[in-house]
Amino acid sequence: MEDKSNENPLRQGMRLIRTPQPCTLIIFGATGDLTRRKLIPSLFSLYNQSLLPQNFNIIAFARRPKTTEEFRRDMADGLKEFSEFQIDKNPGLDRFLSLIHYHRGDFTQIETHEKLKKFLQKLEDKKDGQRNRLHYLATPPSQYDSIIKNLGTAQLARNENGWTRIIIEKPFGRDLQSALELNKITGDVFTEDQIYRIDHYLGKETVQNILVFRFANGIFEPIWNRRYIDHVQITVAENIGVEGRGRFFEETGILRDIVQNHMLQLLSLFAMEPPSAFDANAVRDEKVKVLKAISPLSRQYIKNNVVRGQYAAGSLMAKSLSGYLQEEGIPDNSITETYVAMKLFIDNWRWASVPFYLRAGKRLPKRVTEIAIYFKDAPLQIFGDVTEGEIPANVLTLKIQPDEGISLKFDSKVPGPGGNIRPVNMDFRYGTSFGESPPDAYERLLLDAMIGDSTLFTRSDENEKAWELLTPILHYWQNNKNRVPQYNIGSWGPKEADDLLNKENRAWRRL
Amino acid sequence: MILPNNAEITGIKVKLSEIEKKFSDIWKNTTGDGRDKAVVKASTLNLIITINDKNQYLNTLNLIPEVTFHNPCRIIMILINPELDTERITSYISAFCQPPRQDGVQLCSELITLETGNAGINHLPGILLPLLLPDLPVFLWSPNNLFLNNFKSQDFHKNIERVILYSPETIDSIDELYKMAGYVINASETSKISDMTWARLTGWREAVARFFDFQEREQYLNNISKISIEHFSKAVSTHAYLMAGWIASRLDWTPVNSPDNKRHHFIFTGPSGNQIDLFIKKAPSDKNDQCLSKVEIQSLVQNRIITFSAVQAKNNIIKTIIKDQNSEPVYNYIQNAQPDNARLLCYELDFIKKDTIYIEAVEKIWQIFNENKRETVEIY
Ligand SMILES: NC(=O)c1ccc[n+]([C@@H]2O[C@H](COP(=O)([O-])OP(=O)(O)OC[C@H]3O[C@@H](n4cnc5c(N)ncnc54)[C@H](OP(=O)(O)O)[C@@H]3O)[C@@H](O)[C@H]2O)c1
Repeated sequence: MEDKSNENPLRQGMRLIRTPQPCTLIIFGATGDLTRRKLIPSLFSLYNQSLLPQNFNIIAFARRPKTTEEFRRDMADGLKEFSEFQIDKNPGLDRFLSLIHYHRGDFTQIETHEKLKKFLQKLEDKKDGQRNRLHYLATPPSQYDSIIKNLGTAQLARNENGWTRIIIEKPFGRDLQSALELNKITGDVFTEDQIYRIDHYLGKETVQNILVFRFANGIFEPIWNRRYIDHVQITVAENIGVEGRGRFFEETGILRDIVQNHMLQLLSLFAMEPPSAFDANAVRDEKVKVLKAISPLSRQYIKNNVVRGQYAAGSLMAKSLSGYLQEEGIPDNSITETYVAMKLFIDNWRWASVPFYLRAGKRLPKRVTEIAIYFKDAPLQIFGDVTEGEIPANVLTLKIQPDEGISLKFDSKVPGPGGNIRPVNMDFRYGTSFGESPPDAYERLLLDAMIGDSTLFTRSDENEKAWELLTPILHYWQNNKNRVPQYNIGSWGPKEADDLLNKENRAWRRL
Repeated sequence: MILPNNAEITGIKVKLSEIEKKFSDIWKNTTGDGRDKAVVKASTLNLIITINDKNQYLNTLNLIPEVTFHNPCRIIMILINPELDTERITSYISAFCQPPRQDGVQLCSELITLETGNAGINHLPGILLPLLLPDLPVFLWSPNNLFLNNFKSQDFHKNIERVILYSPETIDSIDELYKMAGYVINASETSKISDMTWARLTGWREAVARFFDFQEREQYLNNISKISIEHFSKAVSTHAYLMAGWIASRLDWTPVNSPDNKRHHFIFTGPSGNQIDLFIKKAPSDKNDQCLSKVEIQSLVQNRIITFSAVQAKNNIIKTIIKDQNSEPVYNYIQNAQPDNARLLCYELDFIKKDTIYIEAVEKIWQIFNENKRETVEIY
């Protein structure tokens, strides 16, 4: 059934945030961490804001034996811990929990999917018979293959009386090869417009605001190019380590975990050309073009311009912490990177020869994500007392977390008779302009998927291009088993990362 | 509040000319230079509120914490006290602070109250302009339309981004409704106008729009033959007329002279020349609710009658039913939580652009009565 709501004359100018049509959400892997920490609290929040459709149901699908009652109780406990809403005496809680039904089974067996189908139909027939279904794969990626194939075989991938969509959690593959395989498996059963690859970064208001900032404000776009911008630094820093997920991290590394998805999303939103419209395909077409324009990374290029690191034992905020190699489940000879820094170029008219420096790491001094744009110096230095180069560059920073906002660093005269010049900051903080805090990223994305808006989800070609770009780095590291450079916990990364910029007379921003 | 409530009007009495200085003293004492301190004065807009009775003053004051939580702003409340036989303007200032957030930051907003008698109205534009925070949008909320009645100053009008009305949900005569429509149309030429009564209809509009979200239903939309709108109001229901105006304007219907001088039955022609009969009625049951009770649309397609009904059910739910002679009825439910005034106001403050859909709905109401110009009658 095609949604033609945009052409409905009664829809014009409707200010309401659109509520989705009645549907059922089927969570695969519902006893897992993601469901408890993120999905159920987000759904409860949507419920409290009356944003869930009427006739909404959640089927929680996992392996361990549990009754629906037990599962609801677990979720109520989870909500106490993770929901922003008051749980005790919340009259909506029981009503919300009554929407959840537990379905037990093994993803690898077709019978459980057949049973799921019957269960779904029974639930749907009790309401209005519409069969709008949203499958959410909240499972380890190793399960995707059997779930998707079984959904196909059980004819749960499409139906006559409603839409069917599927949300897939990252990682979407481990490298180009596996990404292509995963896209093939999903593509055999679902069409691309049914598939919603979730990268929760795109659900963050501040990430979406990159587009508003660029394309709704006339003053920035004219300077958003190689004529005015010297270079760009994108940082995703975490102060935490692997936090008990050592085995998972050892298989993944920061390049796969952060750079392939979150960072390349930030980069493409920052650098893309204006889309012809703010709709799913126009926006994603432009994002893919950025990834396609990044110069491919040769072995020689990687050697000189990509740096990896591993955190070594140290202390952070007065706490002594063990290094990566001493974390539980990590082999002594691990070469998995907990830090990566690199320089990239986007070979197009707008960005030719502007370096983009990316860095991401664990156990850095603080948690911060931002894009910093360094502008070129004024053409002529006319202030006699100050020698050229001493006046710091103007920097515009888009802060994604934790202090969402935008700040501009510019130079100003120090009061007094002297001619000193000092940089000052002009800050815009979301928190002081909009009293309420933005909704959680998962809330926004779940709602978008139910409504059928895929603008903030990753398209298959985007995902493949990102892997195509980074897979040579993974291969280079695999073949190059040298010890990974170490950096002290609480520092801003290995010396090699500093050198990457210092040799070009630049430096990382101290955050 | 960080200032004592030592007067009948919240805040401390200050001379008009000292308002800014006193505010800056307060902020200096509480926030230092305004950076890196826990108390932050925040403003994203100017909100002018005009009221003319003390009860309304207290009610409005109660909305301020929620309004400033969502939209930190400078509020200038104008209390025109008909009991005061003076043109003197007395001013008070106070600050509203939110409870500290998780990060320890406490956001505060400023409130200026100006009290005067009817004779002071003419002075107000000249006082308000200097008090507006520069370069931030200016909203005017006029719950009793005092503004439109009194402030004719173009200079002042020019400086207001948006006027938020609260057209009475229910009024005594069609004449008043007609006047209200003319009034909104005129004012919309200079200001952007919105109406909290219109905002209350959002859930109903959503319910009706949803019927026609699928292309195969377009033929039904083009072949509507009859609409009936029921309301709970004891007098003329602004909601019902706005609903009618909205549907008629969206679907490009033209009103024609209707034979009914009781104003229950109106006739339109659709773009393809078809006739549409529109009925506005009081619901059979009484309920303490001024909004709608039912909207029913009938379409005649290939000699089949299809009925789309949206009915107010319990628990803030609108139940929708599609009945086709040839198949089983289809039911659906839409949540229609009725926001309180503070929420409605916040909702209006989020919008800056012109709500042309609302203006066109009002224009259609105006056209309906203009077409049916004969002597207006009191109803109910
Ligand atoms: N956790 C997070 O915060 C987070 C954040 C971003 C992305 N993600 C991604 O989200 C996905 C899920 O993460 P998670 O942390 O929630 O995983 P998890 O805690 O390991 O949960 C795995 C779930 O899958 C179920 N399962 C596994 N094999 C099954 C089988 N053969 N049959 C039936 N059920 C099976 C498990 O059920 P039983 O336990 O009942 O056996 C459990 O419910 C992963 O792709 C992860 O990368 C997670």
